[in-house]
Amino acid sequence: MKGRREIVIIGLGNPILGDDAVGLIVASELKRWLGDFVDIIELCVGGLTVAESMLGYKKAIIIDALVEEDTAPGKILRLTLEDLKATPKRFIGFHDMDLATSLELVKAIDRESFPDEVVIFGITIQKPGCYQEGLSESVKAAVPKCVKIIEKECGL
Amino acid sequence: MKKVVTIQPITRLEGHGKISIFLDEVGNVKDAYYQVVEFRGFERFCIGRPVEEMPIITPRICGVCPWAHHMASAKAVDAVYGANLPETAKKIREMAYNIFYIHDHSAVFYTLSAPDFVVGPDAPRAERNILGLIGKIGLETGKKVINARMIATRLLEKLAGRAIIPNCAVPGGVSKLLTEDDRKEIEEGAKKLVEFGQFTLKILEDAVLKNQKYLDLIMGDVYKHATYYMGLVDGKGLVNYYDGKIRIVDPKGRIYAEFHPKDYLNYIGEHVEPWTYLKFPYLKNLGWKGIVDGEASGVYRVGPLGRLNVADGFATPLAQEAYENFKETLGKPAHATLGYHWARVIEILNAAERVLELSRDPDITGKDFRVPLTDTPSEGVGVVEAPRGTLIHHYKTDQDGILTNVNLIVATTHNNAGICMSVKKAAQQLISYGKISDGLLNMIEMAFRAYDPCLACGTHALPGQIPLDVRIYDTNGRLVAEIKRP
Repeated sequence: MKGRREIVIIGLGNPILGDDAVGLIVASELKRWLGDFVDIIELCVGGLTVAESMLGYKKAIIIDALVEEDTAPGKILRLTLEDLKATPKRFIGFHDMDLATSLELVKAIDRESFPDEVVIFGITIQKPGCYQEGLSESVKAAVPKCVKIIEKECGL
Repeated sequence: MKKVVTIQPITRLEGHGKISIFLDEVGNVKDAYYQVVEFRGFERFCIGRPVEEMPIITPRICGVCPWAHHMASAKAVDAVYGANLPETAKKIREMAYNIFYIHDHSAVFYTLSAPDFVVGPDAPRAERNILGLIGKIGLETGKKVINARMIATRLLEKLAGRAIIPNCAVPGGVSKLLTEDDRKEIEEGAKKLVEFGQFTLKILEDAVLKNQKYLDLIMGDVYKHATYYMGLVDGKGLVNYYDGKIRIVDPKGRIYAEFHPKDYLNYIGEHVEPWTYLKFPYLKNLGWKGIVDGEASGVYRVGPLGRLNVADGFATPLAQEAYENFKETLGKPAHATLGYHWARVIEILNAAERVLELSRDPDITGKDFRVPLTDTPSEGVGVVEAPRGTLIHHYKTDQDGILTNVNLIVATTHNNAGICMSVKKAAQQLISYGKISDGLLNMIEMAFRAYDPCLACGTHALPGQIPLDVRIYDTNGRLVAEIKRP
């Protein structure tokens, strides 16, 4: 285990799939402001690896692109594990296991190392259509807002 | 009355597909197709970029097997520049790649394969998942799996700086040397991974191989296809994931061809169907005869089963022992599609043994880890065995090393025809005179899970939770039934 801080922030996404990269970009931006206080990880995968990455922390904050029908791109949703279970959300990029199942599984296996609190920030995007770099204007505008929200979430 | 059954999405699978089943006049299965409906044109995205960026870009195709693309890509770039790697670099790459195998195969076995067999193929769907599996085999086993994956992650970080999206291989070599402290840590970790491989094999043997009902299911006709097989073998004809020649065997197990990966276009053609974005590779000399098995058909399969069928065995003792048992039970070549699961578990053990072996190799801490790239770049092919099967990267560049053409053939594409055949056979068992049995989805899903298809790679799409939707159409093309996984 790392020389542990209490909070881990995990940005998820694919840097070459347009707006799907937004979780990585928010995490990268947060490194500038919070890097001395919390651990920040950028991941281009999903499933078990995400859940395993948060073991040993008290609180985990996940940031990812979220495809939500009938919702304009750039909206920021704050979700908890209970929200994920109640209304499964379709996050892009989870192949081997969906986020809710992988978190539930790792929590069941290693409850003592699993964070007391997991918060997920989903930034709505339109379903990526092809490989490209860069964010759309509406999703780009959500980045600084999400950074501010997460700073508050960390209590810093 | 021709009916079509379409299945989408498929749970516990990596990707997004749709299954359409066409019925004949009397309501029996005439054809079944597995369709992939997303496309993102990754190859076009790459054209115009410097070729040396590819080992960093291509792992982004897929969050499941980034290391496979990383290694195939690095090997292709080596070939573009005509680079001949030092032994230390080759062995560090191979070591990292074997660690990745353990990481990937263990997730696949415990999350996708084991629930069907350990919890039981007849168990209620709500229990036939990874959480049901943990309930059955206990939390301690779950902890062992997580622990083994954490060890693999830590060892990959030693070799590559980061485990998930790797930067271990660079054109002409590797990005960093191994210190003696690193080597010792890898050796200790590898010992634990060998134990984990033995433990996993025992779970499979206890739950599946000692259960006649499951054995009958594995060996029964429903999941059997007498196809050709393809995979890499080393200089002794043994399984190798990182390097070697491509060997193809026929449905009787005789060597049909063995060639240097750069010559793949002489042997493999790609057939295109209008109803799917996933191509159908086939053996060129035999020609495309449709989605059928047999000696006259050009259809071949790859992946764990393919590797064990083409090779003469394993280079490590424990895996070799397990392979002998596999061969004795399923025959050689083993045509039982569910044998993929067993082969995968043997490969976990083999990969762990190979990591341990390499950790004790004096070359592994050598200082000669990269060669300069001096040739004018032109064209190169890089091939590795991805966990799901043979992965081909083929690049062409101009004289400045700017990509002008990119072709990737991934494991799931090689297996496309095999997957379609398995779907059809399962459907034929469960649809009779228009009556659709309740177990249809489960039987089809079990066929899918054996291949562990990665549609993210196959189509270069990045789907979310896996959809499975089966649609059944009658002879007039009318949708008469639709079965969906929630």
